[in-house]
Amino acid sequence: MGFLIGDSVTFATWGAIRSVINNGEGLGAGYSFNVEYATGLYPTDGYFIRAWNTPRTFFGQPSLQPLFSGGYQLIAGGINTQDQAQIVGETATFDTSETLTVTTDAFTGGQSFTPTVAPAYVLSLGKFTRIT
Amino acid sequence: MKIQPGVGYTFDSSSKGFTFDTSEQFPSRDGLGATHPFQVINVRINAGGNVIYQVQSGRINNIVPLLDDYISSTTVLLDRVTAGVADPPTAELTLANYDATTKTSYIVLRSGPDATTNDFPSSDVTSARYPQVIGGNDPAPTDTDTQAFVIIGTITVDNVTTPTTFTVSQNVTGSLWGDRIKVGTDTALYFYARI
Repeated sequence: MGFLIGDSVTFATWGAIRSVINNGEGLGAGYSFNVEYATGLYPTDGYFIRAWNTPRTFFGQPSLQPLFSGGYQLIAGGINTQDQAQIVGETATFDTSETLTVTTDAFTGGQSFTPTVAPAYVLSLGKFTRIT
Repeated sequence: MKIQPGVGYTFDSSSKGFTFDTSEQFPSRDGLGATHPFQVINVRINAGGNVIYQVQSGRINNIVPLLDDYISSTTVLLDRVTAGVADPPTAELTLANYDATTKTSYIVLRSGPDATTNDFPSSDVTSARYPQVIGGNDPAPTDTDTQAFVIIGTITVDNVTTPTTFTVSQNVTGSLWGDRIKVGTDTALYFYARI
């Protein structure tokens, strides 16, 4: 069955299928036909990436963030495989200025790394830059 | 004297004389030949020498826009139904409504997010952010965080001060869904889909 786009109450068009990456600093704020992203990562050469979304049923903002759970990992969620291919091999620069080359592990359970200083978010990542 | 067919009346002539029937002075919308929402219709030149036009009612995110009705000098809803007046309402183009270079007026749907709820567009009909169809002189109006523009059609004239002929083109052929997406401090982006 196809996806229905053109909602009557919430994001209806691009807002329902495109997003910025949640960078661990907070999700976007949604209103009727209006969404605002105060934080996150977004492409410098375009608009947005595909949302993790089943229109009218579920909207998920893709994420890529450093998390600590017994050890540090760079964990991605909801990023489709084509966008993953644009990210793998890119250098993630954290707010601590430390860097990490992203591997497929980030999308399959988490890419482990050992920072010297605990990072909070990704500052830049290839074609993506942090929203300011 | 020769009388030509026109909008708002019927004319019949025979060897016994002629009849001039103005009982349908303000024809129905169907009579204007509109085939889709937001169609620029019934474009003509009024007694003052200015182009006037009507816009078939449509919706942006289920909201019916306003139009500046030159007859009543008030902004009224496109789907107004009032006995004795032209429905949908009639707008007038004057010199300020034309791009001097292209001699074109851009019939634009202007909308903005509600100042309180942030919903797009505002449903507060008293707000300047409530959707309104205007005759703009800019071929590419610049969106802001509070105002978004989409050209629904154009009217090009032979002379912007004393028009005698005009050409109408249509950009939007249906009601619209529109999303506003704002990222950080960047100016908000607006995306529309015809429905």
